Amino acid sequence: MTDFDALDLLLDQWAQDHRLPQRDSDEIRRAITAPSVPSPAWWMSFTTQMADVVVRASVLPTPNTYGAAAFTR
Amino acid sequence: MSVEWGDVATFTHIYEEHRTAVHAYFVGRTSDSDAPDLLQETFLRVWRRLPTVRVLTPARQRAWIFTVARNLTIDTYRSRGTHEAAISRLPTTVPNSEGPEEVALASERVAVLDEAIRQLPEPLRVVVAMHAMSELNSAEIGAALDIPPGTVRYRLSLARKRLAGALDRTVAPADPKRGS
Repeated sequence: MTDFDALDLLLDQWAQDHRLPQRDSDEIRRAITAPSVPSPAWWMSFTTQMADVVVRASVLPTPNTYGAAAFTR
Repeated sequence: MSVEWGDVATFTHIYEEHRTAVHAYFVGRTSDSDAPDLLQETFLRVWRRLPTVRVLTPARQRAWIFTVARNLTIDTYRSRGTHEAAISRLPTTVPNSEGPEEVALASERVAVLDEAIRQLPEPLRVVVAMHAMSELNSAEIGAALDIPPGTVRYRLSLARKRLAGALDRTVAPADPKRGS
């Protein structure tokens, strides 16, 4: 007959096999809170995109409004 | 919703306090594969109702969270049409055939136990899962399931007898001295 001590040991092992791994648990927690708390990767992407916008804006030629203004006068 | 770092810290505390028991509940009531999604949905609702939940005592937080978990399980069954569909997808632990003989034997017995737990009626399976996987006592499991602690103890005792019987029937070596 299986004694209850042996059963408890097997149940411990069974529980161990079925517990959610810490990594998965952390992933779930992050998924819940992530939309409000940007990850470091999000910030990196955001700052890179912002830098691109600044660079593009600074190298674009200034529209020649003098000529246009003179022509319509 | 305006969220502050303090909210994340509070939520993380609540999550770490209750996640193991809630996951055990879902393993007992549904399956290993569904449990993580249901766990996430449960705590997403906690997150959305954090101002309400954060002011409760830990015991009342647990009651609140398990009410959500029970309702989610009911919704899941309802959407699937049948309860058994979820149960039939419970995985069976594959015994590890490699390594020392003792390890293989232990793995085999755990696989038999897994199958025996799968065959338990749901009320027994839930208390077994919660008792084995979380650190809750009978009173706490009873509060979570909204049943008396005595009922938890009775179900646990009944389940243990059935599991011990299943193990005896399946993996006990043939004993030539034992009469039939």
